[in-house]
Amino acid sequence: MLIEQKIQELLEKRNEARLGGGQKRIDSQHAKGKMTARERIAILLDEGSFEETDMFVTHRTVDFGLDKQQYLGDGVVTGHGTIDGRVVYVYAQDFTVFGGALSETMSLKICKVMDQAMKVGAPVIGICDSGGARIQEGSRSLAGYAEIFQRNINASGVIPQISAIFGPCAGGAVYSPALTDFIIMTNVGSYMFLTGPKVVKTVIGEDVSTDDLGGARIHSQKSGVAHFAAETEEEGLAIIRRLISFIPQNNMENAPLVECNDPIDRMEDALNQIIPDNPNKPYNVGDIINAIVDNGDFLEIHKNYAKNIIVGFARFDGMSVGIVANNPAFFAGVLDCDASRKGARFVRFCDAFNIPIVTLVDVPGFLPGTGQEYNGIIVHGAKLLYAYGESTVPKVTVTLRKSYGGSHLVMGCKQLRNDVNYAWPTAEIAVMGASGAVEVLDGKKIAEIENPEERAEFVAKKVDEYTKKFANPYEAAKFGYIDDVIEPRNTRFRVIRALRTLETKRLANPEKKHSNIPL
Amino acid sequence: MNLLQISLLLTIFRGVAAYFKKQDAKKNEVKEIKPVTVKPTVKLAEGEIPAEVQAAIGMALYLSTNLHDEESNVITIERRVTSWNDKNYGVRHWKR
Repeated sequence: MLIEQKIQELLEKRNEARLGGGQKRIDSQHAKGKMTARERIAILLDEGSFEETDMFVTHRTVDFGLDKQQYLGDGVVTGHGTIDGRVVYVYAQDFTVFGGALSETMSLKICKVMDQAMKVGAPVIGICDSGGARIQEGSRSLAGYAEIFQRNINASGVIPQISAIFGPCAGGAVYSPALTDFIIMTNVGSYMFLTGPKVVKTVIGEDVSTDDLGGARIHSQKSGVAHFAAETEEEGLAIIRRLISFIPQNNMENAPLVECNDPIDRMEDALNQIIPDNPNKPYNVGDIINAIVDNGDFLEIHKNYAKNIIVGFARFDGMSVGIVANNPAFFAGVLDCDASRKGARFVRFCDAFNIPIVTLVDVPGFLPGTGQEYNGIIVHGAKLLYAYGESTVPKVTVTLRKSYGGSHLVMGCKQLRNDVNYAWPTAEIAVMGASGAVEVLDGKKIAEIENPEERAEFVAKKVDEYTKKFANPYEAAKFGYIDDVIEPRNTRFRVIRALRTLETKRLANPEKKHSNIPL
Repeated sequence: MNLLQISLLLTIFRGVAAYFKKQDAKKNEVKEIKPVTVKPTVKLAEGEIPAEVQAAIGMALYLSTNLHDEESNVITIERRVTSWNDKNYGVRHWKR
C-alpha cells in the first residue's frame, strides 16, 4: 500500500470517528437544540487548540449484538487544548453513540485524560450527556465509573475539576460531577438525579417531572448541586472559560495575575452612604462588591442558591480573590444550613487553590428554629467555621455592619487565623443585637415594671446604653480583634494593600493524614 | 554705523515691540460677562425649587460635610519571587 493510500485511510477513519454515531443521530441531537460533543469542545477551547486522543478506540463487548455496532472513539471525545493559552484536559460524552452510555473503554479514555491532567497539573473539564451505564457491559461499566470516581477523588484539591451537564446524567453517573469543584447545567435539556421519575413513582408513589426532580432550576436553587444554570450550552461553555480565568492550573500555582486598568485608589463615595441608618433596613451587599473589585467584574457562584450569602470570584489589582459576603437583602443576611454549606465549600476551594479570601460581614446571627436545628445547623455552621479556621491562604475581612455572636466567629474573625480585619465605622460587633441583649440582661427588671409606658422608656434607655457601649467597632478594636476602622470609600485601596502585603504569607496546618471536617 | 542710525533702529524696534504688546493685551483682555437670564423650559409650580438650584444646594451640602479619613493611596510593596511561601510548605506530605 502506498503512503498516499495509507494517509487516505487515516483521513477516512478520522472522518468516520468525527461522525460519532452517524449523521442521523447528529441531526437528532441538533433537533433537540443540543450540540454534539465535538461542537461543544470547539466552542470551549481556543480555536484550533484541541488535540483529540483515542479517536480510534472501540468497545470490546460482543454480547447483545454489540460486536456489530462499532463506532470509532466509542461514546466519548477526549483530549486537550487551551483556554486563553492555558492547557486544559477535556472529555465530552457523545450522546450520538449509544446515548453516551458509559462503557469500559469510555471510562478508560476518560481516566487517561484525567491521569495526564494530574501529571501535567492542568484542569479537567468534563461535559456530560449520557444515559448512564452501558447495561450490555454489566459490571465492567460499573467498574468504569468507580475508576473515574477514584481519579476525581485523587485530583480533588490538586487540579481544578469542572463538570458541565448538557444532557441526562442519572444514577451513579451523577457522582463524578458531584465530586468535582463546579457544576454547570443548562436550563433546558439537562438533568441530574440518582433515581428517575419512574422509580420515584414506583417506590414512593410520588408523581414528579424530570425537570422538577433534577433540572437545572432545582439544582441551582434548591439543592445547591449545580453552581451555575445557563440558558444555553454556549453560555455554559462561556462560564467555564470565565471560571478558568480566575483559578490556577493546580494547587502549586497561583491564579493568573491580570493587568489592572482600574485605579487602586479609586474611591467610591457612595459606599459612605450605603449602610442605612436603621440597622434593620436591608441593602444589597452585591453593590458593595461591584464597587470595590476591579472594574466591577464579579463572577458569582451559586447565584440563585442560599441568596443570604454571596460567594464568587473577582480581582483586586489584578489578583484573583474569592469573595464571601453576607447579603442583608435576603433574610437579613442570616446564616442558615444552606448558606453555611455554600460558604464552607467555597472557602475550601479557595484555600485548596491558593486564592485569597475577602470576607464582607453583615450577619445578625444563625437562623433559629426547629427547621434549622433538625436539619443540623450545628454541623453545617461548623463546616463554615472549620473551613475558615483550616484555611491558610491570605484572609481579609471587612465588617460592614452587624457581626453578632456565633455568626461573628464563623465569618472570618481574627481568632480563626484571619490576617487582616477591617471594620467600617458602622460596624457593630457584639454577642447579640441591643434589644435582644437588653431582654437577657434586664429581663427581670423589665418584667417587674407594670406601667407599659415606663417599661418602654426603661427598655429604650437600656437599648441606648447597650448600643452606645457595644454597637460600634471600637469595643472590638480596643482588644485588637479589629486591626483598623476604615472609611467605607477607602475600602478598595485598603483591601488591595492588605492583599499585596499578604502575598508572601506562609502558614501550615499540623501534619495529619487528613482532617475530619464535620460532614 | 553712526549714532543717528542706531537711534533710528532702536526707535523702530521699540515701535514694533509696542505694537505686538498692544495686540497681546487686546487678546488677553477679559471681556465683561453679561449675566444671562435663562428662561426655564418647564413651568414650575409655585414654591417648587428648580432642579439646578437643588443640585447646587446638594453640592454645597456635600462639600460642607466633606469629612474624610485620608489615605496615602500609594502602594510601595514591590512584588518579589521568593521561596519563603513555597507551596510545598503548606501541603500535607504523605509518609510512605
